[in-house]
Amino acid sequence: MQQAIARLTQRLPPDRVRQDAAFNAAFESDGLTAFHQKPLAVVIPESTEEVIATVRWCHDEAIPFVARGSGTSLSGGSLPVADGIVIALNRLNKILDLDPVNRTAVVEPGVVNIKVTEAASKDGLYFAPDPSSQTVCTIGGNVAFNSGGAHCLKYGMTSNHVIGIKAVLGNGDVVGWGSPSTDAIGADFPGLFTGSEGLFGIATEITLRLLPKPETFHTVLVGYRSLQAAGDAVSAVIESGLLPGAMEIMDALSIEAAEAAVKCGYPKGCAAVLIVELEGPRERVEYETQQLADVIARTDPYAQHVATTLAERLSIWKGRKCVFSAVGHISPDFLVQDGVVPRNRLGEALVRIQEISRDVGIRVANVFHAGDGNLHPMILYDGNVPGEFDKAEEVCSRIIKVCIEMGGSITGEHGVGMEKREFLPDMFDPATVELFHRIRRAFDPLEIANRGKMFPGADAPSLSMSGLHPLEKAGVISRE
Amino acid sequence: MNNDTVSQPTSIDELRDALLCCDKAVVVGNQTKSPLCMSGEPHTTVSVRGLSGVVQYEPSEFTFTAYAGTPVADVQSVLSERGQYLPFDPMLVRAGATLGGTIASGLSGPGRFRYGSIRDFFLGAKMILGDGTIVNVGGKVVKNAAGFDIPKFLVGCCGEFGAMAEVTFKVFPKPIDSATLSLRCDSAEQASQWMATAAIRRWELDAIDYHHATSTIYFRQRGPRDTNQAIAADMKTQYAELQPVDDVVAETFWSSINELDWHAPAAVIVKIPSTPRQFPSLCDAIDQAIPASLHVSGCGSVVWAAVESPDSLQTLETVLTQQSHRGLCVRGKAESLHLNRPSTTKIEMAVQRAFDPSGRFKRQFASHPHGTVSS
Repeated sequence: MQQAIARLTQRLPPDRVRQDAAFNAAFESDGLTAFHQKPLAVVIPESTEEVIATVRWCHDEAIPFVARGSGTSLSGGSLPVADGIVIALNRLNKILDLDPVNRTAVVEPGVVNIKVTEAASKDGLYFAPDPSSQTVCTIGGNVAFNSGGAHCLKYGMTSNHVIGIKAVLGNGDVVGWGSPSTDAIGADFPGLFTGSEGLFGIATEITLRLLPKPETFHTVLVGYRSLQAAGDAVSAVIESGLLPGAMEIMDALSIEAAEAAVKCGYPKGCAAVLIVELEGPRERVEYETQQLADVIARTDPYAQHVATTLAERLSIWKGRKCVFSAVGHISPDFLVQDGVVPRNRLGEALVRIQEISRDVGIRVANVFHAGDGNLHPMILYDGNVPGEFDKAEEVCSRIIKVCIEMGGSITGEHGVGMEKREFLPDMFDPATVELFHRIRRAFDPLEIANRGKMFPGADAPSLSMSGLHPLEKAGVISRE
Repeated sequence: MNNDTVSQPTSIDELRDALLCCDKAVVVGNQTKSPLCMSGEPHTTVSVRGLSGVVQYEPSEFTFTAYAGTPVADVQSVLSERGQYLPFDPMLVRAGATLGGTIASGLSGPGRFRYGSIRDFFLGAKMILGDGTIVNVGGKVVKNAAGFDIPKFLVGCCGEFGAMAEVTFKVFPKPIDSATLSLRCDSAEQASQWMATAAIRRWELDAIDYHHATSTIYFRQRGPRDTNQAIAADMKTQYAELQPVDDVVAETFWSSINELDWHAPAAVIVKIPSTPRQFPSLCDAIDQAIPASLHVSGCGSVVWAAVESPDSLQTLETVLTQQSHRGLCVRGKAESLHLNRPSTTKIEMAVQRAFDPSGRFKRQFASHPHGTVSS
């Protein structure tokens, strides 16, 4: 193996290949800290050519690789593989082109999500997909996992905003698909690559669609006496014909955690809060504001607060965005699930989750993207208490099965990764899973790209019972 | 080359059996895009017209599932009753387009500008692969990151990776009202500049199209009438020559774009993907080369070219090749489907085999994904 590494170092400039244990320890796990694995080496390329050289070496030597950006994956998607290498893409962080006329940006994979919007902002544009970790997560990771955020109902997931990809595939080929046009002829390879969880290869250049920034926002926080009432309010908003940019719900435990962490001023004593945000030209938002107020008034709200300043709006969102790291303060450890249910069955799903929580004896806090049915139940446990981790895993497993039973999905934005690979056959029949395998092998016959992810397998890495990711401890990322 | 053998299954099992009975299959709906229904070799035409109807509609979920042979018009009618619609403006609806053909052709109308094209609304499918295997790809909820996003991949693939039997779409609430404004300009270049500016302003327009023959930009707003008027007044401060278009006239105009009949009777309509930067030079080059009627949709995303003779089509292909564009013939008597098509890469062939090991759906002049490869 060391002879192979020596051949790699010959292909790259000095200092690109790191094998020192202390340095590589930071790459042993991602945001899903329950799993960890020492990599054979970490490669830190500084150009596309170096990525290509590295992947071709992997192919020549049949050594598996895992591409990684900031490591914010919450499904273990960027967990190293035993005897494989990690290719860290953070230094490929250039915005290569930003075209306000075409409303596109061409970026390298290591560009941090928020940097695209910051760069596009001067032209009145932004990049719509906004995972909560957008201040640190990279576009390469967003593409790999087809990440989302709070705005997926209206604007779709990352794949809706990717129109071109250049990539080095697992077989060493370098390909270019798509174009600056938002239209195309022929099968949509950029669409297929997005969300492939790194199993096809590494995107080295990504063309993104940009949208005009909304002129105005109208943000409302509504408290309810029950989760069911909050869920019903979501249905009422939808049935009114409104299309909010975001609709989020937090339960009492989540509110308690957020309040303790950032004192966001949410109404006291309610069982759930609903955040609804309208956006668009001021004339239209003003019209819809009244429409929304009328709808909310009919939902028997317990309390209501309308943001009248930018600071108030940000305060509402701060409570929502911090909740995962905040929950970390009230529980030594937690797992977060990412299932999806049909929106009109949200209330039923929450009741089932509460039943599971009581049955297993583990607390569950709930936050979810109510607009698109994406649940984020947080399963709270103490890894130092024997058996608690196993109970937490059982709760996760049962929640995911509920999502499948209801016709939803095992993941809305985190991806299958390592965490949910055993559930893939519960969602897709054997013929469909076999098609996935065949497609994967078309791109990567040796199956060296992110081996062991998405598909069920026995090559599990080590499990850790407790511990937050360092970025999570710092409150920089959250499990959303 | 077309074939007299036509199969008309009325169930998914019958569709599977029909496909397995032939070596080469071309799956069709109502054949509103006739060039897509051709093949260069003997084949069996398998029609999914008998597989029609909405299977499941959840207005509160913003989704519906229907058989692939369902006419889009039927779906629009069902959605309209609950105040919902398909924002990407499905095309050739009046002509009889089906859901399956809409996906396979990858055509989207002017509304694609605001919320995205058909790829952004197609969520899942039950489909039959070349070996007869029935698979379920994507999902039935509006957010789903599990498994490979095969539904997106299938959009525009011209049916060469399998036969769709059942499809699921995302829908949106239908806006209360609509208003159209027109703006005459001096050239395609000026049109491009004005359209690009309008696209990033605060107005959130629903559609921005450019009709080349009359040098006119059309802006469509959607929303409450009063807010449309207020926003139009603000737009007027930017474009002094902006004119409101009578509602009936506007309806006729947008319908003509969706139905691809804005032009005089023509032999072939070609779809040419483009960008706001590219379309002026493309329009000018086509103008100089051949008699053609041109319409630019989606704020420059696509140029529609209507040409009248096979000779014109050859010249058009030369222009597209010179300008590094591609074309897809979607209406009329075309002898080929693609203009300036690139050769298929080995990866693309491998993916094709993954779906269709025996090449049952692959056609001789087949669709080629937009890509390049180097090794």
